[in-house]
Amino acid sequence: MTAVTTPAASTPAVTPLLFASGMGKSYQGIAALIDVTISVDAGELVALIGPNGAGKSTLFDCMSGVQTPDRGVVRFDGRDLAGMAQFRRARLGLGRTFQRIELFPGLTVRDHLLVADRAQRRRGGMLRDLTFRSRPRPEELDRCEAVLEQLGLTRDADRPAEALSLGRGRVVELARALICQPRLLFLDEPSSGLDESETDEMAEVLEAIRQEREIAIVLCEHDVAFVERLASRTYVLDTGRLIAEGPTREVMASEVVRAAYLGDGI
Amino acid sequence: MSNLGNFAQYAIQGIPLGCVFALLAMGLTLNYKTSGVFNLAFAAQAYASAATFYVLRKEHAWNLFPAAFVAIVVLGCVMALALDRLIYRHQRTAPALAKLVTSLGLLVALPQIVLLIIGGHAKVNPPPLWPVKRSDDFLWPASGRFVLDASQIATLVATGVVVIGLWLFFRRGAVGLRMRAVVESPRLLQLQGVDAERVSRLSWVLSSVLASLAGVLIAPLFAQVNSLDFFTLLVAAIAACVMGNLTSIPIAFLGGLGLGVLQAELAGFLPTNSVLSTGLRPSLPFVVLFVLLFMRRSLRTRRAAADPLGGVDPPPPPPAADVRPAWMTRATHVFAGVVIAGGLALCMWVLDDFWVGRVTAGVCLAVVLLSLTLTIGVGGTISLCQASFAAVGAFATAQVVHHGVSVMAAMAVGALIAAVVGLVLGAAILHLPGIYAALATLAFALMFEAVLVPLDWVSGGSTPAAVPRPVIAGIDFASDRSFLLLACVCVAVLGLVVMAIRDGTTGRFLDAVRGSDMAARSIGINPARQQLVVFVAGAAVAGFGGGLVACYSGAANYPESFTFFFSLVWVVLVITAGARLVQAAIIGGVTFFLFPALLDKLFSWPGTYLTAHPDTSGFARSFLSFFNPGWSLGVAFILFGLGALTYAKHPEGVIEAQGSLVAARIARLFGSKPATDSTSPEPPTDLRPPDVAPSMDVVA
Repeated sequence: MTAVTTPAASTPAVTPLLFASGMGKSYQGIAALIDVTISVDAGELVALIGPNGAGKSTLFDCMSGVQTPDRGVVRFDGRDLAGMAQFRRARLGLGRTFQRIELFPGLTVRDHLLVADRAQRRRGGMLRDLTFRSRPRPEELDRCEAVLEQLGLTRDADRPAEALSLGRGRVVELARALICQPRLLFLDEPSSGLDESETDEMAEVLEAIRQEREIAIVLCEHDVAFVERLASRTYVLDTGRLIAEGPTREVMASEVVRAAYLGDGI
Repeated sequence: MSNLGNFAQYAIQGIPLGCVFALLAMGLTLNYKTSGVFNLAFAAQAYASAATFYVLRKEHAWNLFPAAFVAIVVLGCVMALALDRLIYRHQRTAPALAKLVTSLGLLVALPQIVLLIIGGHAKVNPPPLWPVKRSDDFLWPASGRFVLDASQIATLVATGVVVIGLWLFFRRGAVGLRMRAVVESPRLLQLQGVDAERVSRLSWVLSSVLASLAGVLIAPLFAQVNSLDFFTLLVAAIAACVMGNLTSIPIAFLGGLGLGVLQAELAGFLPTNSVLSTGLRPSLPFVVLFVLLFMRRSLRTRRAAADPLGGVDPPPPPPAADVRPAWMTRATHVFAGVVIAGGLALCMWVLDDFWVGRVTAGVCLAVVLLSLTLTIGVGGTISLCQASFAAVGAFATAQVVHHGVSVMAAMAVGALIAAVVGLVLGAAILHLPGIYAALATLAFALMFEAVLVPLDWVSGGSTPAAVPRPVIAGIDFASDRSFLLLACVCVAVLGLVVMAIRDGTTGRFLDAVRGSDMAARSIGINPARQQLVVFVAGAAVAGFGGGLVACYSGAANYPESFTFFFSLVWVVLVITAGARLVQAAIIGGVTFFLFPALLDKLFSWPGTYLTAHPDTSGFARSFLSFFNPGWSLGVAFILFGLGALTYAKHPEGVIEAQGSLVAARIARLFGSKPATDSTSPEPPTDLRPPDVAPSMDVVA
């Protein structure tokens, strides 16, 4: 785990929290992912970088269940996720945010969290609705307030989601994922569209939640500085293949990565 | 050998029918591809053209060509331009479902407008599109096995011309490409220097003329020109469109052709009196549509294309509830209570039996409409088969009552059976994207009507099965006035049920799904399950309502109360009034019965005048006889249908929209600021000019 290695060379010593191996996906003959293997340990913050079209989003989608991979196995906490629907993976503890922000218009920020909390704990059910027992309970509100406070959203709690700026929206997405108490979070370009100070705030928030909640995080990012600041390990994808992996600093320094990521001229 | 000969013979008989299906299917596909509107109203337009052609040709004895020109080209163009300019242009970036609702409204309104203009008299033996009076006046070849009559030849010729014409047209490349670009984003196309309006107008005209042509061609197949027959044509065409995934015109064409041939083969080869013949043959298009929708896996992952520049639309205005201060909400509640109490008092002590009967029928219907509030408003599924669920409930109630069960218990059993039917149907179709699910429910409603209702074990025989009024705890609800009270209790209870679901966790989950399906899944919500639960609950409420309606009218009378056409009208009515509001369902139900009756009473004088002065003639006579019996229902349906056009602008419904207007006005009057202003700490970020049309954020 020290040097920059070629793909699939490192085999984890302990069972990782997430282990996706041999992932392959092609669209009408065009390969978007070719034999990609990544693993994430509990509580670890890992980055996934690569130029546009490298297959980062496809890999994310295949692991979180939005798309079905053609080949490959995804194991989460030792459990094979093959054929498992996205919402079931979410209930197992795989949270995610989206590159193009996906909020629920018409719901306030607090409603976002209450809905997510209920969905995760599966405390829905029409019977409860029909007996008028669906009002938020004190403990639900408490959990909600805790997350709002940690992410600095208390001020916006009662505003409708569509009234928020992009930066605040991304934080709401993060809060919505967090209240589900995930063990692993996929964050799809959390800094895209944010200005410098917002990016800083986002980095601080991520650092804090990783330490306090011991959640493993997989970041998909373009912002190199952001990745260097946060990620302990980094995987680099290029045209569907894994071209490097290892500790972030070494990966960033390696020639092969610089060539792929910044262009051959450098 | 003779079998093979028969096969060829039936195939040749089937090809012209298939051609008509194919023409309409091409029109629908072309239009969907180029405007994003799946225009169900083309069926109504086909009917309008067929009726016009009939009137010109038979009643005014026009020559073939002028009559055909006016009925097909002129009428097609005029309708296309009117629809495009007046209606669809304003909803180009609206979601597909909003457009579907608009076309539903037109589908309800247009045939009634035609009827008002040309009169409701029977139009028997429609003429072919050929210079003869009747189809069998011209046969070719004159004798032999493979004889085609005039209407079949006309169909073949016309289809050939259209196919070659379209092929040449789209070979020119740029036009077809531009047409598709208009749907993706008219704004981007405008930026490329293309006149998006012109392109879209052209596609409207093309597809509209195709629909008109199909209508005129198919009319001779029916004994008379009747708008309901054109729904069968519509379903066959939809099935053909679905074969082509709503995008491929050639496959839609071949699909329509194949469907026509298959239908003719079935007609020829199935033994005439078998169950298959009476059941399967007429329902073939529905069965095909159903199987297709069920099998197409590729449909399940399709997502509606969003306009890349859609984000420049300002957010929709806040709902009335947010603008309204708390005191005003309380005042509204008090006002509603006074109106309801006053209305009931009127019914109990003032109004005569006729009006009480209308109101009671309306309140019973309100229960059925509440099921739409659930299915459409809460679940976000456009269900076009709610009358079928109501019919299931009514039939079941009638049959269970005959086994000696008390009436209310029988209605509960009816609700249960309707729920089971809803469960089976919903499980089959709810994984489909919205527009396909809506089409599947329409197919189910038509299949139910054509195949299941005639079966004795379903409907209890050809005479409507009687349902007595209930006696509960010694209180007899036989009189209309007492039954009205019972119906009000039912509406109140079920209204509370609907509100509990809407405002409860289920409703919240579905709000989330509507907002972002993908994000809802990412927090562990199973959208299909939530939608199914609400769909089934809706079916149960509709079933109960059907029982109540049957109980009120004394029998489970399918043609009187539950035909699929009612489904369409009710959907339009509920969506127009406000799909998420319980009060909208109640107002809708009462309006449905009161409004035509009111019109009738208000305009009863022309009939009275005419009987008193039988010598009236000329213009006065034709004007006065316009108000013949039944016109009021027609006018009511037209207004209900056109009401749906407001949906694109006010997806929350006119009640909510008018409510917020009035609320804002009253608030200004009293000098208090709207509630949202005081809660939002930052000024609104929306700096766009206020005259941009609001985006159509939608209940679906």
